Amino acid sequence: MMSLWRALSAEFLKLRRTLALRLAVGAPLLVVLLNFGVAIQRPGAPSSIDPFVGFAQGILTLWTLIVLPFYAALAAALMASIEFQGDNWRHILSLPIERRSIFLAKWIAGVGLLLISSIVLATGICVSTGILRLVAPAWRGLAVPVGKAFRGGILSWSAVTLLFSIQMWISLRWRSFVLGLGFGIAAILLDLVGLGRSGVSQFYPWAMPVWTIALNGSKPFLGFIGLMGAVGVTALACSNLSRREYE
Amino acid sequence: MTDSYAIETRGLSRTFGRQTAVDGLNLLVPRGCIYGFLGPNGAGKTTTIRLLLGLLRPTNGNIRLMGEPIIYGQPNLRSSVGALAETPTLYPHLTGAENLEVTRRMLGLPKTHVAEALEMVGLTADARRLVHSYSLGMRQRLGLALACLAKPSLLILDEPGNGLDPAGTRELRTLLRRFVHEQDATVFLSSHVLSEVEQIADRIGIIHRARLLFQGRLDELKGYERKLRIRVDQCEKTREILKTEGWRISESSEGWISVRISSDTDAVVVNKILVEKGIQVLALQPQQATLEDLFIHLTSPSDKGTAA
Repeated sequence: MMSLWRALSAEFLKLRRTLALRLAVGAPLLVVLLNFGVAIQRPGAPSSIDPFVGFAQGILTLWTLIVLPFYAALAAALMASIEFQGDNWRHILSLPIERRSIFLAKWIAGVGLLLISSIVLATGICVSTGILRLVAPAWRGLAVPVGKAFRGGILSWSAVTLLFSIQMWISLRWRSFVLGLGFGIAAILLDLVGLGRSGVSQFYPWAMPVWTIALNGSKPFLGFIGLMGAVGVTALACSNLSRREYE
Repeated sequence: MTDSYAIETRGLSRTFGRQTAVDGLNLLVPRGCIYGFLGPNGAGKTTTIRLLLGLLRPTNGNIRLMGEPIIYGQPNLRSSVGALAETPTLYPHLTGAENLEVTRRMLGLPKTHVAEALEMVGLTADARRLVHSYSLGMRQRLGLALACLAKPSLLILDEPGNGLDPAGTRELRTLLRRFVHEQDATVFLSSHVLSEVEQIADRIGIIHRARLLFQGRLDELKGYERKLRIRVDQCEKTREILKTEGWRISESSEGWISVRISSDTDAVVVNKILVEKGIQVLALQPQQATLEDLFIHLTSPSDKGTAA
């Protein structure tokens, strides 16, 4: 346990000044700003549903469908490339510390980045709706969807941990940055063309985050399945990565 | 196996498919020495180091570092081993101090170790600069600081002088000597730069085509091939006389003949033989072979002899 804590502490230090850390804040803010820009130019509120719920849903859909899976793939590839670029595995794995702790720490740090991005997104939704209440007359008096934003953020985060674990395994197993990222993009495209749209395909890891926040027929249990799946995949990945040789 | 050795391997072998990278290596590195591990490119030096560091699984044989057995995949938590690979493994987006801090945190060392390591390699003033702005020499020094961070009792260095200019190489030698002196440590240094090893190592091992050809003190190796240069008035006649008497002539040029000898007293014997046969001996120069001579002699394709 102590070795895991030490490795985790080192892992957070390694994230300083990295693109992965910057994107944990930048990516969700960009999604919120994009939707905020559209909403502020719209003359009136949509009438079908609570406008703020609709606003939050728009952000969450864009986030979970494309941006979050892409960020998860990119973060995994970036975090692995930190070690591959300077052949740092040779140094790290020769240290007197459990290999499993080293890989597990990397996974926890990555999941931590995704959690930061989800919290930033939820906070961004709340702040932007607060601003809309002040500047858009049609939306005055409506409640800020704090529950919707944070529930959606946390559910999609727990669902995305599974695909992140798969991405992390690929990125740590093979040196190629392009391979990890390319795999993620291909998996997202498969989701977009319909693989994750019906029946059993809701369990397709790249489709799970968006299913957790679906406006009609949201499946919050997918968040739990995502987390459990992530634990299983990570255990397998740590075992595999700990046993392999580093030439 | 005994605890008096910093590194001890028995029958250490490693194959990659059909290719044997290391074959039955019996390394004995006594504690407190600087051991130069020499070999041409592709001889098996780096594979040996990766086996020692637990990055590769041996096909056969076993390893002990500081008396502790090394089992692949299981970290040796008790032994303190520092390592510097050919190119230092650094994070360019972090500062020099942060690079050391990463390893300090992983090993749970006191915070003072970072400042001490930086001071040892003379990088205190540049500690807050990002590593991507460091010169190659500075990176090499930081790599050494990283290897020495835990104040290890064994330091394993793979081609540490690569890419350094002569001043940097000299500085590295000074740092290593100081480290051995101050920490009472053992240094295992692989290199193909013979002059570098000759100036710093107490003991050497020569590996060639995956096998250890020689292992021992540098003066033992030098005694392994000594020469006597003789200047005479009759070169051809002298060659015939010495050959008849059973001496091995290694080379000859105009007026000079080189004979392999095993000790300085051989010079007296050779002189006596030649004078008795009527040869005028104008000069006698006992010569110790350089490490380069010995290395080439041991690793040349025609000479498959082993002195290990």
